[in-house]
Amino acid sequence: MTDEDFLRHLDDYGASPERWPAELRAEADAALARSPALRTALEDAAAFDRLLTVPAMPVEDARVARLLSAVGAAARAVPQEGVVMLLLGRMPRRRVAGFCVALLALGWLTGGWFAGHLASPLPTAPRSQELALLNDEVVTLFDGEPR
Amino acid sequence: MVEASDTDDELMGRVAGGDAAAFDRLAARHMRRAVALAQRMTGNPSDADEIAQEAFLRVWQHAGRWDGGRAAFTTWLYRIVMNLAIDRGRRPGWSPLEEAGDLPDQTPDALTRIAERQTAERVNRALAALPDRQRAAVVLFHQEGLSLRQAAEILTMGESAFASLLARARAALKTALSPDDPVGGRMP
Repeated sequence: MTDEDFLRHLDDYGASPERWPAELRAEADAALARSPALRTALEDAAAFDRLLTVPAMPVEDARVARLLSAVGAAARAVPQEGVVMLLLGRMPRRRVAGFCVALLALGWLTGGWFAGHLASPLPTAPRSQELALLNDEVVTLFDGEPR
Repeated sequence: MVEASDTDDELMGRVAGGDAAAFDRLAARHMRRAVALAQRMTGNPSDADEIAQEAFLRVWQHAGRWDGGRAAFTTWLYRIVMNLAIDRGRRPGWSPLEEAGDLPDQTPDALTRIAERQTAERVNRALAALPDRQRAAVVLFHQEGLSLRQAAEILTMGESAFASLLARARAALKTALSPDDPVGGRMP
């Protein structure tokens, strides 16, 4: 690793060579061992890294307790997802979409086939007779007396 | 029965079976860090609370989807938190700079505390100005101390892609915080 390489990686990944990509670490250590200038650059970079590691805002115990209570109650009120959704959830979205389209197409095709090829199991009455039956019902209901 | 020594994997197995006590235990174990992570991403305590609650609710609802062979529970949880935080940042009118309160009192000297607070605010502003995923890279790698591989897994990307994202974020921050930048500042 040349000095330029080291400085570039220092810019990219920061001042902790032990956290750099594994394949760079040994060469980085060797470069540091041989070059005082790189060690100085590492110290400068460490100052920048310290800037980035702003201390976290404290999360108080009372706040955590309130959140735990709220989320516990919410979980007990919300059902977990069912088996079908679980199976679909594990599939890639594109496959799920394809699966749904295939199901719709299958339903449409079989529905059309049944409608075209199978006769209804009930005998179909002539339309005039249907109207007559409906008429009889209405008379019975509204007159209050059966015929 | 839930034991204090149960691993995350064991608890998740029970949560997937509808065990609410196991869920309580898991939430108690990880809530504080989930809130802290959301707060680092949003800079806003009330948003952070909502995100953490929503994240755990999703853990409960979708527990059956988690596959311990593919990712640690914490990777999955942090991924949910980061995605929710990024989604929230994209809402119209959302502002990340509601952060209030004092930093942890780690120094005895008041002037030093004020200077540290000003520096932190400057860094937070520079971070908030980064694109979402670059900000996420800095938060996970520098602030949460995760490895390149862990952070890459959380953002569902390869390690080298993450390294390049991190490099871009660091370069942008260096520019924003350089002494020459009018809205940046000086490094201590």
